[in-house]
Amino acid sequence: MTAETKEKLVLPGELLGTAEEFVPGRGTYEHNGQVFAALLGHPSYDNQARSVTVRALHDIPHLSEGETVYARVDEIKSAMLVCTVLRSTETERAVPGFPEGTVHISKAKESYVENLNREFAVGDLIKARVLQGYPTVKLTTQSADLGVVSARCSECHGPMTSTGKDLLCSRCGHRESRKISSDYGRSSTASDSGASAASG
Amino acid sequence: MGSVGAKEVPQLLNEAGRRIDGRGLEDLRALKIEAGILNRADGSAYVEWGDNKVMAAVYGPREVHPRHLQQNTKAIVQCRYNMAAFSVDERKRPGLDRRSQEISKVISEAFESVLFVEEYPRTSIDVYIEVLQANAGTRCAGIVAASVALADAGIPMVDLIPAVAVGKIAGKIALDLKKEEDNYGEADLPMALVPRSGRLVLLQMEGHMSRPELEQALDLGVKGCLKIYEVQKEALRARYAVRSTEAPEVAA
Repeated sequence: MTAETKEKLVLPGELLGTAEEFVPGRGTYEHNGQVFAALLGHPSYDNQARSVTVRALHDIPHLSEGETVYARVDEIKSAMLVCTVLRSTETERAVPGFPEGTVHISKAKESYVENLNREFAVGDLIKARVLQGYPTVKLTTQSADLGVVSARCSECHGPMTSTGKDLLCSRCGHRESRKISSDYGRSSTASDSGASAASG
Repeated sequence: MGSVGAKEVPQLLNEAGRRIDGRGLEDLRALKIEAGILNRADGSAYVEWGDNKVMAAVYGPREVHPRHLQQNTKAIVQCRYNMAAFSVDERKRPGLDRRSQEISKVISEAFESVLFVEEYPRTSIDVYIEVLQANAGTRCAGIVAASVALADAGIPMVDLIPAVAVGKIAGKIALDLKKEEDNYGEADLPMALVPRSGRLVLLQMEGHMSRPELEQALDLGVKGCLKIYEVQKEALRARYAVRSTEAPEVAA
């Protein structure tokens, strides 16, 4: 039962302290000079910063630096890829509001990229890492496991399979170049969320 | 079968001041709440309250459908209160009717005032309340369940909101009416309370009450809500406190 004191569970509306003692952080709110929990979770007190936060037991995903996410390519500009962030690879819960994320041409690949259209296509599902979550979402695909995880043929819209170097349409045999993730075609959850996002 | 037309009104209060099911005027029916019962929902809860059986599921914050309801400054709360066809004695025609639309609306508004909706602009928080078995007070049971489900889903909120109906039977104010009392009683007053601030977020009334009776009913309702609040908190603790204490022990 000693663990209970370590991992105390608080409920929404539970008193955490007074506003004179602690600055209300994430998952808390202040009312009449007192700080209350806004979430079901574990409180953590930072005595250095004099702040209190509540770590939610069931957190609503928010984009933080270093997190890997699935995103759908919406638009390809000359130096930038614009996509919709669908969800984190860790959870099935969607990122609220489906925020818009960007991949700069310099962050698309380890090597030099001349033309983004040779690496991505509109409608592709990509796996990317968050470089910045706020105020704008900046992503990178500079790693072997990052890049396109699901794509359709630009000629016949058939499913593409990875040859390792490029993508081959299994229906018409058309070949296309991409920045392919080592997880291409393996993350079934990615195509699920892509399908649901596309239909929605 | 009894004679047609001659409706037999049951005796709602006996000489000893006891109600049909033996309760006193200020007693609640037995209440059992379970949190986190559905795997596919972001948050869920099941409530058995007397003969009421209600399930609530919460999804979101997620994309708004239909899109035109989307608000740029805050999340919207879309609640759907639905009674199963088999929830009442005579088969209920499934789907939305005027009653469930109204209840959905008032419950949505009640929750919108306690959730921190401005934290999730352009999204929708969807609350589904399914009444599996009804025996008066289902909108209150729905709020009780949905409130636990919202906390379970990790949606930031001011407080859990308990709800209860107070009524008037045989000229007396009574807490938590059951079906016969609701049908043959003189008034019904469902309410939902934010215990942290003492604010009422839902208050409706059917029937007649004098002003002193209304005041007495409100006091009794607040007392009832505070009892329900404790059960709600206990349900969440029972579901998650064990798990959170187990985890570090396993690791060690």
